[in-house]
Amino acid sequence: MAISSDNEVSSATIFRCRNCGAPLDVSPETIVAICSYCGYANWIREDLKEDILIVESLKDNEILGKARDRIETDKDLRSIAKYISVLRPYLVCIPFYFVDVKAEADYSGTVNVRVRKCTGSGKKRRCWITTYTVHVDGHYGPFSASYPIICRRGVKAFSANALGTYYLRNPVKPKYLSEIDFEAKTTRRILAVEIDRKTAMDIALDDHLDTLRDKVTKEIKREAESKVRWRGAVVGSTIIWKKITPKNIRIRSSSIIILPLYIVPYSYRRGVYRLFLSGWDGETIVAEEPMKLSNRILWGGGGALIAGLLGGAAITLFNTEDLTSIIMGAIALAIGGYSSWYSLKMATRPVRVEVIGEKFRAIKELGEKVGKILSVVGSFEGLIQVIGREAIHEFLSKD
Amino acid sequence: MSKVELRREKGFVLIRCPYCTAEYRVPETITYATCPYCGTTFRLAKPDAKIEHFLFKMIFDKNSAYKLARDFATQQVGVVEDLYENSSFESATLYYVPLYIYEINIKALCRGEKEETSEKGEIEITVHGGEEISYELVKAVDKVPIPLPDDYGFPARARTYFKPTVLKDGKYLQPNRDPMELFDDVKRPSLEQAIEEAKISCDHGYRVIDNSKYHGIAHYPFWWIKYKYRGKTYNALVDAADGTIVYLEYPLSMSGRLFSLGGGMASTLVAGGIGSLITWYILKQPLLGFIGGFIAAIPGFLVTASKMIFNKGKYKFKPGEEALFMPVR
Repeated sequence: MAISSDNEVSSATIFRCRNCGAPLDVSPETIVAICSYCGYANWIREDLKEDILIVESLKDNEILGKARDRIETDKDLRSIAKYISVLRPYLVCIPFYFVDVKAEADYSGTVNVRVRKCTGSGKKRRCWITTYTVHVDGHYGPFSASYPIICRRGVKAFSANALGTYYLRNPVKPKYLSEIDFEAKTTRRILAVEIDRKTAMDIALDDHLDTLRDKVTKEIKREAESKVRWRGAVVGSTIIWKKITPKNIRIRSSSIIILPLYIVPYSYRRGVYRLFLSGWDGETIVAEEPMKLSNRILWGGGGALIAGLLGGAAITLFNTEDLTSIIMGAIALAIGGYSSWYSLKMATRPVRVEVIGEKFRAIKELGEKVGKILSVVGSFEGLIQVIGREAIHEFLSKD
Repeated sequence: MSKVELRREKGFVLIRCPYCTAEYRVPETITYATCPYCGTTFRLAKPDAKIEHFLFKMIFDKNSAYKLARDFATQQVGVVEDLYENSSFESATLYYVPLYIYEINIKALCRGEKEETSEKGEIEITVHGGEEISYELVKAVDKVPIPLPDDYGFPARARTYFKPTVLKDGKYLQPNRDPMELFDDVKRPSLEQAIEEAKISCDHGYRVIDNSKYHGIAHYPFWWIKYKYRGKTYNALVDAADGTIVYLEYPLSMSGRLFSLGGGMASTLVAGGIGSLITWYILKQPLLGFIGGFIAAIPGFLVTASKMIFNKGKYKFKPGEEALFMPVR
């Protein structure tokens, strides 16, 4: 018998076909080995036969057709389609658990909220910042989400994660592994399961509760700030004490579902780029595309625009000689600097990456980073209030 | 399988393999011994414990790895125009880098906290403290002779059993760090995080449940490629399992460098111009705004300057920047 008591196959075991006795090529990934002499399907992991579901894949030539369709219709690629040659596709079948998590949370917190106040007008106008200590408490949720968990240890793969997310949005009915007529080529592309269901559920729990804690922390700040908004413009807040208790958690996991991912390389001029296609419908989920000169100029120009606007605004704020405005100016300058760094990194990158369902991903990411910078120094709303209502009005009324 | 027989002599350990009974010698300093005849691996300090040891399959051979590196070099900003025609393969070394695989599974449960698992495999928890669950890969050798980032992970690709033939194919690095000593260092930040979460969650204290595991070693293949362009040698590090370019040097052309630096400079000047428009409109002092815009654009200019200042360009894969500034895995 090929399987040891704890279902792990040892490297030294020699496998032979149960039908004809020919030696079998077995790796740690092998769930079923198709005999290359007689074609008999030898189940190495009998225990997984009925438990694992698989989504059937299109054939190589169908995938090539889908990849060509994409190249001929994509707005960035169609103009250069005649210079593109598609290379041989590569299939990998990745096992996933799909885990749903639902949770609520009780919270309370003490927050120091900084409020900007002003008296007088014109040259006699004086502004200062007062800190109010506010207590909030309440209940958050229920908050639920689904997580694709790759059943492999230590895997860091953007494309595989994108495949899991795509399946969550576009599920198709999988079949039992035992119902599939395998070709030897396909079985060698199936990755074995390395993570049990309980661990997958724990990973999803960790992800979910970390997100929940972030959301509740923001809620605590938001609530505290809204409590003192009537006193003046909120410029920032700091949580000095908080309690977040996750409650009523429910975790539910799917069976193991193996999803096919196709990697289709293509060459354009001298570079090689890749399309990552979902194996069941041939949809491109991640695409690497050539960087055109126009893309580089657009990013370089965009970076210059933001840096210029924020740099100019920063100097204007410095010029008010009011402490709060000077701080705001410094923040504007920092964000301008970050944006120019980010844009020039984008302008000089070797490829562009497009992910399905995530338009303007790069811009969003930049926005999120800037949002994070802002949340460190104060609440976004507070900043807009200060710059929008008072400071700008003040600057425009000068002279 | 019979027991491992070990005999120590003058800085070496003489081993009789428990599986194939072959005898071989390893330096005393190494942590793991792998039989060069059958591939059976065990820890010298704990020879009877079962070890998981596998390799990632080398899917890209040295020629395809070189081609990947060369083609990727042609996609870089400012690269010489004739790289494709005038570069040639010089040499390639295959490194098998050992990595320890750890599963971190730490929960800090509130006093009285219970997990209820239903028949359908659903889990219900009424009140919860903290948790940290992840997989960590750590280099099993002190010094890796190739520029490999610390947070480099596995791709979703096939593995294979350790085969003694790899000892002939490439440089197989023997693990020399103690996996159990490292385990504590790897676990510590997660432990602190889980406790921190429990402290803000639980009313009446918490208890820590540590189900973390050390799973074993995996050897991972990388090609260290040298290629020539007009008499000069350039290096590249290519992941032999999934073709990711981890590190790449490439020749820059003078015109490419000037063009890119000019672009960076133009972007900085445009930023200054926009800044001056703002202060001219509001403060009637365009020069101040120019300075502001110029300062804000300096980080961007530094990006181009750092890439173009030397005549040899360098690219480094950073896992955190994947899909944003660099290709995906």
